[in-house]
Amino acid sequence: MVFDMLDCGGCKTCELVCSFHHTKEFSHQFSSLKVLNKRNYPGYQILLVEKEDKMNIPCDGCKDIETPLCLQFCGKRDDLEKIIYRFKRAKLQ
Amino acid sequence: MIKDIYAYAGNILRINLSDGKIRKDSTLDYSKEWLGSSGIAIKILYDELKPWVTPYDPANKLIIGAGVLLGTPAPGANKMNISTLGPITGGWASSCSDSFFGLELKYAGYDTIIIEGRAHHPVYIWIDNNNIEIRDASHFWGKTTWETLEMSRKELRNPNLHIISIGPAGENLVRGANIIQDRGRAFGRCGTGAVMGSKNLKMIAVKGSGSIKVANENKFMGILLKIREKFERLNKLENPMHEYGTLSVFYVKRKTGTVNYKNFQYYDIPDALAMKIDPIKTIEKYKIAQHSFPGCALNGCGKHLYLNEGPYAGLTTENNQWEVFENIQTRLAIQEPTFMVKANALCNQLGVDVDLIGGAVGWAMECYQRNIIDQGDTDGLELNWGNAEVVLELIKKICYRQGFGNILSEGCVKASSVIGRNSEYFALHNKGQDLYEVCRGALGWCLGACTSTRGGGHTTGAVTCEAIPENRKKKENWIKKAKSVYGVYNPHMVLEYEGKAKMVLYMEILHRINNCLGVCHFNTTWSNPEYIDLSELMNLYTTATGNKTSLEDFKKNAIRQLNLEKAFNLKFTNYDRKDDMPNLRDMQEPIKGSSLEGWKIDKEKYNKMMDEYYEIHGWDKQNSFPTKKTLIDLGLAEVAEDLKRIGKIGKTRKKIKY
Repeated sequence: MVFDMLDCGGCKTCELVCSFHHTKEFSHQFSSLKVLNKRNYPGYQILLVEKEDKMNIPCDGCKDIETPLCLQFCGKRDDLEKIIYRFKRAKLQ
Repeated sequence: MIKDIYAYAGNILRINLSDGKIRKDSTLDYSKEWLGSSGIAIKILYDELKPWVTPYDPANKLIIGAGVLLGTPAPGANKMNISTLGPITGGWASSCSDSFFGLELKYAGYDTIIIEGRAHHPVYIWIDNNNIEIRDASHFWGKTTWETLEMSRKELRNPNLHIISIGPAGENLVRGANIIQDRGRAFGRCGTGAVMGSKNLKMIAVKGSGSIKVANENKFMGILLKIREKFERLNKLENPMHEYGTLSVFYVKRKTGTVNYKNFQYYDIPDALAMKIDPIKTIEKYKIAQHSFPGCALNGCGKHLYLNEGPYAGLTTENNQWEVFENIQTRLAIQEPTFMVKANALCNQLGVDVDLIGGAVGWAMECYQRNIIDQGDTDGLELNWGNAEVVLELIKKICYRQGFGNILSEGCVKASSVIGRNSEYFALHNKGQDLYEVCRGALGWCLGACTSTRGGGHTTGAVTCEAIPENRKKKENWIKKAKSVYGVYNPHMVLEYEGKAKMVLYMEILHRINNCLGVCHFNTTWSNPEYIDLSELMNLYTTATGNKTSLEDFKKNAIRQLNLEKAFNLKFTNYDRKDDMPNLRDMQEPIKGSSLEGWKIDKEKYNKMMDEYYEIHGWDKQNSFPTKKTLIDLGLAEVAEDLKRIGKIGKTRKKIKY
């Protein structure tokens, strides 16, 4: 599921802490959240992984901690929080 | 990846372009004593380059290192370093840049790449994890860095690929050629791009699919969260870097009277010009998206801009930082507000240091003003202040080494030696490198820039924080904290000579630690004494790597590097105390046209400050050379022997404590 995040600077810190949540190591590969370059225009989109496969681990909302790690490390926390909320709602439907 | 390595990727990659041989060494052979990145680079360069090596010699080495904390979400952990024997100063050349390339490099399993030899024809290097190829780059040669990025993303079928590349300036051995990461971040100073060009290496692309582990993950994450909380509180109060990058200093620089206008003839711009070219307004008007790098606790200093009007309409690019504004826009008195954006983009595309452009063109324009040169020298160009189109033309002529541009491409001081006619006085440089730093009116900044081992620049010792409290909301808190960090009573008094040597020593240590760890200076006490300090950096380092150290030893690592940089310069150049001094113009002219009108450097006090600087380093104040005792204390006994052999060992020193 892909979301526009207008104020995202594309720093990818969220990817690193997300992979840490899943594997205790920092990487791009094992993040449930991917920061994508917009095509043909500056800016970024957030992809949240829904289903598990060989390459991807789905977002579990950091169920074992109060505030998801990606939010704790995001400088635009309010915007990302809205995306996570929309993602959770869409999954429930 | 080796399992018991923490924070480091574990490997140093040696690629010899002459014979195509590729070898891997262990990072751990160097990391304990030399930390990482720039520290490892100076050790390798000092040990492996024979004294007869010259910058464009195949025997020179280009060392590309990712900081220790790169690949983790540590605050500001996104810096890489490129070091070599440089073509501008003839000595230590070292330059850092923000980087996604470095992240990929670490995830591919490498902390450092050493480029050796020279390819027989243009090549690029493709690192796809364990698979490393040297490929033909004939079709890239001649292309701009932006074209190279687009073409390489297509060729390697990866729209998110990160690369470092040189533009035409590097290919043409322009002395100030740089290396560009993707489109807009430069390893700007010291001419590292020319060395890359001399090796026929156009580009390096890297893809990494691995990961980085830290030694004590709970403690490491705990420290990160604590630092995040601190920045959240501070950022709410004010975060000018996030709003406008370093352009945010515009108003305070005008207030403190230190803006370069017309090649340092004046120290502020006229009010009418300031109204017209206010860079804050330009950013506000044209910003379309944010741009940030991993870990930045300030949430990034970049903006993507789109110019929808004016002479450069249609340009989409990342915003420039202050250096371009002050060194090209105001130094050359350009009236068009979007010129800084255009000039920055053009320099990045062609791969040239904005400071070489400002230095060389600024010198040429002043010489033209004073009738030292005329249209007969300049290929018919009228080098009048404010002539934007001529500046853009000169940037191209410099990068392609055409006509008068061929002379300017050597930098201002070498160009002045070609022209002669007493033009040297107007060539502002340090150890041969064009100087952007405003040297009158901010003494810690001046001392740090002029004593720099890489030749000028303000990121190897210069004190940036002196004038900043003027711009802070809670100025008193800021000063109180600064006093405790720097250990002086007057950290905010820019015109006082006392205490500045001590502040520069602190900055020399901090900058080197930052560069080794890959932490952006702006996240640290360099820009705000409340940001990350040396103790916090040490705690990040120990919990990430598992290497135990004390604060004293941690600082000693940086001092050891500084001494080896100094020894490297002594091995390859004849620099001594006189080369650590400001330019003649700065030593004798009073400031004109700013709030500091009439202020000038007191030569006696300045020299006393220099004496103190050398004394607290354990260097001989007569000639600046390190003493045998200083080097032995730092574990550099063999270096002391080397310097003794060439007659460059210091004789006397005071007892020192870092």
